[in-house]
Amino acid sequence: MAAAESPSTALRRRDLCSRGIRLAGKMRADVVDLLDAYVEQQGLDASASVAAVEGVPLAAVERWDEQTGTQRLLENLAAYRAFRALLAQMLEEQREQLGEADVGLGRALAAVLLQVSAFAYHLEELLRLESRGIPGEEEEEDGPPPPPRLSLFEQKLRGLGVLRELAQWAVRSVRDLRQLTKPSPATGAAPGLAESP
Amino acid sequence: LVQSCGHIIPESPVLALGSSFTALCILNESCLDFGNIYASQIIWKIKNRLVPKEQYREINRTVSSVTFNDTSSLATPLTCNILADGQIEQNIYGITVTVGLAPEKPKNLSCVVHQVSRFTYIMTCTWNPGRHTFLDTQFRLRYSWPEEIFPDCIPKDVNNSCTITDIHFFVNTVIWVEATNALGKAESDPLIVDPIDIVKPLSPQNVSVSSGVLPTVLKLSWENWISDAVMTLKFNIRYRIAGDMNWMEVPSEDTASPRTSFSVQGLRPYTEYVFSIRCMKEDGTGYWSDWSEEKTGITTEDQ
Amino acid sequence: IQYERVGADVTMKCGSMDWDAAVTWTVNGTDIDESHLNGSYLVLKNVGLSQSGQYSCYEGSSWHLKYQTYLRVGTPPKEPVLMCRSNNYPKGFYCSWHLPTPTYINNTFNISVIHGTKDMVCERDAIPKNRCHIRYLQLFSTVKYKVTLTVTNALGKNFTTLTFDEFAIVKPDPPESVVAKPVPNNPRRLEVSWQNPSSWPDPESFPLKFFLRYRPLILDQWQHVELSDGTSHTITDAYAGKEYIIQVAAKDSDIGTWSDWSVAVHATPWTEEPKHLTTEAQITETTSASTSSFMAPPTTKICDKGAVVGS
Repeated sequence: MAAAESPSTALRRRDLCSRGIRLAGKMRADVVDLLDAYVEQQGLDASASVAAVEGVPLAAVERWDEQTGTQRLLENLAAYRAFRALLAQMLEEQREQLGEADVGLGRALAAVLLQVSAFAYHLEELLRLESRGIPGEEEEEDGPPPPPRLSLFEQKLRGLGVLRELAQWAVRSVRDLRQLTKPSPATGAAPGLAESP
Repeated sequence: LVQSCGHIIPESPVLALGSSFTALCILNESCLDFGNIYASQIIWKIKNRLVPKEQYREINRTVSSVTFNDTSSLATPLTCNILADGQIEQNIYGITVTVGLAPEKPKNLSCVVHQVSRFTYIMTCTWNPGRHTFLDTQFRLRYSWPEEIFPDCIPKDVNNSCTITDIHFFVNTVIWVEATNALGKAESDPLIVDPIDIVKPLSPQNVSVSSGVLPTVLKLSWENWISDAVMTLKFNIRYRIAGDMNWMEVPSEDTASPRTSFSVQGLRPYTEYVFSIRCMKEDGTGYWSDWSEEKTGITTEDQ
Repeated sequence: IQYERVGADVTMKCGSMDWDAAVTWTVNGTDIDESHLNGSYLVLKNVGLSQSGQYSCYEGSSWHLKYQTYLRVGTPPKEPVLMCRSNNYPKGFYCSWHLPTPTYINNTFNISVIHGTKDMVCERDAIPKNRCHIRYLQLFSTVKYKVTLTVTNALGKNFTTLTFDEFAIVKPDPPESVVAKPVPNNPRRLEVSWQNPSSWPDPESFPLKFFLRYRPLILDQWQHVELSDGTSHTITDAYAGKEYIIQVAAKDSDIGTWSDWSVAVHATPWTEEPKHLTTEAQITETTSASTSSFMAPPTTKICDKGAVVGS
């Protein structure tokens, strides 16, 4: 059984979780809007199915309900760090391709990148609260590999894949954080991360 | 003395009001021999006013100092002059002197996030810049997240407010003001706030009033231009009889939850009423919106 | 059994009997008029459904049964209507189907569910027969599901394919146990409460949000309130003394579409002299009867706060 949580830690944790849930919800809304604009601006087909893109963390997960709280946070953190790098790269490519031609899309991309950064920080804070070691960025084994040089069209497809997965991750993160705020059946108190299914 | 025969240090100092100040006038050796002039012949002037000799001190053959116990009496220029043979006063050198104050710690920093369109928010922060410093003082509004520093917001034409256009909700943001001038730097206390808690939303839009079956009821409908992903709202509704100045208000507890319409009851039949609505975040944090555009409606006749 | 399409011309030979043999044809034991015979052949033109039946051919004099068949007149299946929906997210989803028009003969349905490259089992429900359900093995997947339903009968075959995202088919059942009560001493208030649909497995991790609509019976136009949490709401602008009809719909807070409207309940705000409360908490009404114009529950667009539905 995890050591009983101090009231201030519990308060801080609940604040981080509820704020994180709202942030992930807003991020998802913004990513969905961005996805629509991206598809239109890049001349892509919205229903195009994009094969799993290397380096893009997949939101899909099996036996999600059996994960512990720490697993949830660590998987989320790894994903959002990867997205931070991928979005930064997309932004760079965007500027190279279009310069300042499409400021709107660039600004929307930058806004989502900031939200991803903020959310990653939220996760780190939650892990710190649980005195869990926070994996350093370099220790991420599946940290994003140096991006292969892609053709313009491949870049666009990868961008579509990145945004789609991010939209799914945002929903998953909302669910994960809700799991963390669920009182554990036994004590009625929010479970320590190790316990929470 | 065409070629400069000396100089003053410090060059163009910025001095704190009320502090003491000493300047040195240093004559060039070359001029000494040629001009047959010595530090003892130096006369200090402020503008064209002679500085009392008691404030002078001859450091050596080439250097004379002048000391002011209180810089409040100083002005520009401070000149070093020579009263050469034949009583012809020659100017050796002059400096500008700027006297002012170090910036005070900016106070009462407060910020409001204004919703300016359906999806656009700006955050305007205001503060008390503190005393007048008499100096060119730079203010910059700074904000950051634990791992993200944002570009400073540089006020334009004012020194007590700045508007940030890149707002992100649901992240505790540290905001502070930095004031800098030649005499020092001061920082306000940091304001740690989640922008979602200081929003002033747009007022309810496209308000419409419709009469119904009952002569004492008018139904208001409107649009809320703030998405649920950002916040849910509560409302105030006020109304008056057209031509009358006294507003009546629907009890706020009746409009304390999200909605896009409300049936106002207990009205007088066959009477024109004026309505206006405002909104704010449902949990009460943040600011009331402006009152909406006024819209009128007429109750039906009492059959 | 012999299957024939509606409208077909059917010719039946009397077993091995010669064309010119004397025979008698019956359908379901009733003699068939000679006008339908061509020699010993039975000729049925432009057969209709009513001509299904047991056809027998007897040798003229000895009444030996020479031929018998059961004629089933029907149609090949049209493209089946297939619907998949998750009303118990995130456990799984079910698919149900029906044929747009009857075929009058037996049909067999075969369903395949593919997620990416993985075949998934669609476990048939005992009742209703035209339904099966699939357990989500993975959640939060961007890979689409592809469901193909093939229907086959003796006269033909058809199929339908649905491709959808995991989230797109999430549609809860309507809220349950909707109750509306007057609030004592408050002539303009009604307290409405309801419960999450019992089919929704984990409202805590997957909370629902709700859409409440209400109107006095004297009006056609609904008023709406969207509620992001909680399972109760107090209507504060009810017309004093007027009977109200109230319904609630539900939606997952983050994904999917709105449920159908709940059963309608009626209530009348508190009035000075207590009247017989007309609260009929659980009047089961076909919603189309109780509302002047049945409004399909709001499409996802409703979540766009700018749109006012029902007005």
